[in-house]
Amino acid sequence: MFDDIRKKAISVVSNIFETMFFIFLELQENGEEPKGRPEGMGKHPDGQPCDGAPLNILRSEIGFQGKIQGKIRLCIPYQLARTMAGNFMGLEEGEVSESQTMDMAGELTNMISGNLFSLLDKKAGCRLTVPKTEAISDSEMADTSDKAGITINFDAEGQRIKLHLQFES
Amino acid sequence: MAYNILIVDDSQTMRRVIRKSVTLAGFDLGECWEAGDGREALTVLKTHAVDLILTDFNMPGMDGMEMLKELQKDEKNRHVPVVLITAQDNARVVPEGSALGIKGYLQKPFQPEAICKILSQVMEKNRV
Repeated sequence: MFDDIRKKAISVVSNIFETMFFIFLELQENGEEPKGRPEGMGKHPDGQPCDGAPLNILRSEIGFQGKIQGKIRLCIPYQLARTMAGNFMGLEEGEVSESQTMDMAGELTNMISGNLFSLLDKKAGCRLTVPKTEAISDSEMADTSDKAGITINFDAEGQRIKLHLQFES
Repeated sequence: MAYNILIVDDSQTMRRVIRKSVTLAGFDLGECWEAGDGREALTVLKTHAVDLILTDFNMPGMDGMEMLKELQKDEKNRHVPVVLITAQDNARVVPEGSALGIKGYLQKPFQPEAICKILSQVMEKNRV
C-alpha cells in the first residue's frame, strides 16, 4: 500500500510543479543531497540575520481524515518558494512579499494533498484541514522525515524539496 | 456582455491567480470582487451585484458549502450560479452541490483555458 501511495505522490507533486509553476522536479533516491546548492540560504526569510539556526525553509502541514488519517508536510526552501510565488502570480521575485510566499507554500501543499487523496480515496475522499505554514531551519527539515511514514525527496534547480506523509492508526 | 464575479478563497495568492487566469483566458470580465471566506462573501453580496461566484470548498471560518447553504436563504442571490474551484476531487460534493447552486467544478491545478471554458459554459447555460 505504501508503495502505491508513494508512486501516486511522486506523480501528483511532479504534475503540480510543472503545471502551475513551470518547474521540473528530479526525484532524489536514498536521501542524496541535490547538487549545486545556491549560496545565500542561511538567512531568515525576510533577509534579516537571525540568532541561532537560520529559518530558511518553509514547512506547510495539512491534516487528513478519512479511511486514512495523518498529516502531510511539505518542506521547501524559502528562496525557491519565493521564485515559485512569483511564477504563480506573474510577478517579479522582488515584488513578492513574505506573506505571499508563505501563502503560496500553503496553497501548494493544499493542491498536493487534495489531488493525492482524491486518487487514494475516490469514493469518500479525505477531509483536509486548512494548511499551516511556518519557517524552520535545515535541521528541523531533517527532523520532519524522522517520523514514521513516507518521505520523498525532490531536487528542483539544485534545491531540496521534501514531502512527508505521516500516518496515524 | 461583461460579467461581474466574486472570488472566494482563503488564499490571497490563489484569488490573484484565479483573477489573472480569468482575464488571461479572455473571459468577459466586468467587476471582480474577492472574499477570504464564506462569511466575507455573504457580506460582499449584500452590497454588490454579481453574475457568478467562484468559490473554494475548504476554508477556515465559514467554508464553501456552509456559505452556499446560507446563500439559499437569500432571495436576491440564491440563483447566482456557482463554480467550485477546489484541490479535491468533486465526488464528495456533487451529491449535494447541485441543490446548492453549484453549476460547475474545477480542480486545482488548472490552466487558464480550463477556467474560461467552464465559466463560459456555466454562463451560457444560465442564460438559457
